[in-house]
Amino acid sequence: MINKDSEDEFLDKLYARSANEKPPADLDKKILEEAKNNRHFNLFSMTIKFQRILSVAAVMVLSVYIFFDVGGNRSTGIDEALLYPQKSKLRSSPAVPHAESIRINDAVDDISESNANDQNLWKSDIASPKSLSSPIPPFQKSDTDVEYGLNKPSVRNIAEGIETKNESNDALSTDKETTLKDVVKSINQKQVAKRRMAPSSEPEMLTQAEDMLNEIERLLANEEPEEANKLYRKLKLLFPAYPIPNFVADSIEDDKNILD
Amino acid sequence: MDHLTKADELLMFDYAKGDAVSFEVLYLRHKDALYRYVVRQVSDLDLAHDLYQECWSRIIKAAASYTHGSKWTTWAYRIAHNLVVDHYRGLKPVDAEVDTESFLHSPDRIHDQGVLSEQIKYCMARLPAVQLETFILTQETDLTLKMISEVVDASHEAVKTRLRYARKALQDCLVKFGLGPMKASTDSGTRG
Repeated sequence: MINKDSEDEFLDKLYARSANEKPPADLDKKILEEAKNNRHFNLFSMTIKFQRILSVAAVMVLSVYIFFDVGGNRSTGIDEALLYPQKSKLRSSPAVPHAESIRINDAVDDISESNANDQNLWKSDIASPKSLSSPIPPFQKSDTDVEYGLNKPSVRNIAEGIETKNESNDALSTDKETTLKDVVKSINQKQVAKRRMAPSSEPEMLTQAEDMLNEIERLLANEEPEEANKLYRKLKLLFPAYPIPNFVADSIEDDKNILD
Repeated sequence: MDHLTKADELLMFDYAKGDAVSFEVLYLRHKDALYRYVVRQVSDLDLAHDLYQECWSRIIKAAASYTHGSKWTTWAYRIAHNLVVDHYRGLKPVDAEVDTESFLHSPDRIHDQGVLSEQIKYCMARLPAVQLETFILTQETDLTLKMISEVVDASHEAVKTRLRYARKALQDCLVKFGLGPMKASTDSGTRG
């Protein structure tokens, strides 16, 4: 009886003896050539694979940063409009451009009435968009304020200014109906009149008060108590909050007692 | 580390990183076995060459996406298996009848040096395709039956059965040539 294992062994030996086929040399050459040429392609695809992983990781990190508000300082580096689109939607609601257009019209009318210096002022107002994006306070019209705005323009203000200008341009182009224009004009005229009625700006007021105080001191020094007293009263009336030095107040009070 | 002592998987990774020498080593290590795997299943030599080249081409292109999930040999032979199945097996008559009589009684060939290899090739050609493939894989590679089952996409038991039937059929066929373990040893003794 023939052992089964020896039969298998015999078969294996027989197969090994017959296993003499080899690929032709030209086929070997072709395949190796192809492998060499594809080496760069493989490198390229590996790089792409790595970049894909890297970009996914970056997106994930950014998502975590935004979601968990890492560091609690959301405003730095990332625009709030991008993070909270609802807010920006509210800002760009149809009512707002209309209001903005009114303000722009207001500014334009104001400028058309003023002289050449005022036109320069308008240009600087465009550069410093505070005057366009918010209602213009009366004291902000002075040249000193405009200079301040020009000297210290922040990037955010410039961006907002451009945005406001674009919005206002759109609004102006859409406002074609004459009735609406009339309404806008009347509002503008009212606002211009109000501004004319308004007192001078805060720094101007301060300067005026200071001048008055200097005059009081000069009058006191020249021993003119009546004039000094009058001016003091005027100062108190016009600028009640303005701080007056104790020695001036005391001397005025003393003189008043003497006069009385 | 020397290229020649490196594992197939590491060579493949090195090639994916751009080392062409690694592929050359890998190719030289496996080219003959893979060639025989294709050629012995595909009777048309030109078609066999095309499939062999296509197989290596696919290996080259897939280098960047190769992972350490399975043994390199399993992966490569799986590619070859799919190619053979797709391009050839459907056309091949599985159990073609061969005129054995003329082959068996040609006295010139009996004591020829190459006759044994011709005889086994003849017997192998009579095996069903699935049994032949399993037998070649056990002979040409160091794959376990489990790994072979992964290559041929069959169960472990099915592979075991295929192999058993293949061996039995080959032995029976070789007996017709008067070849068996005892005879073969005698033959090799007298030749030596």
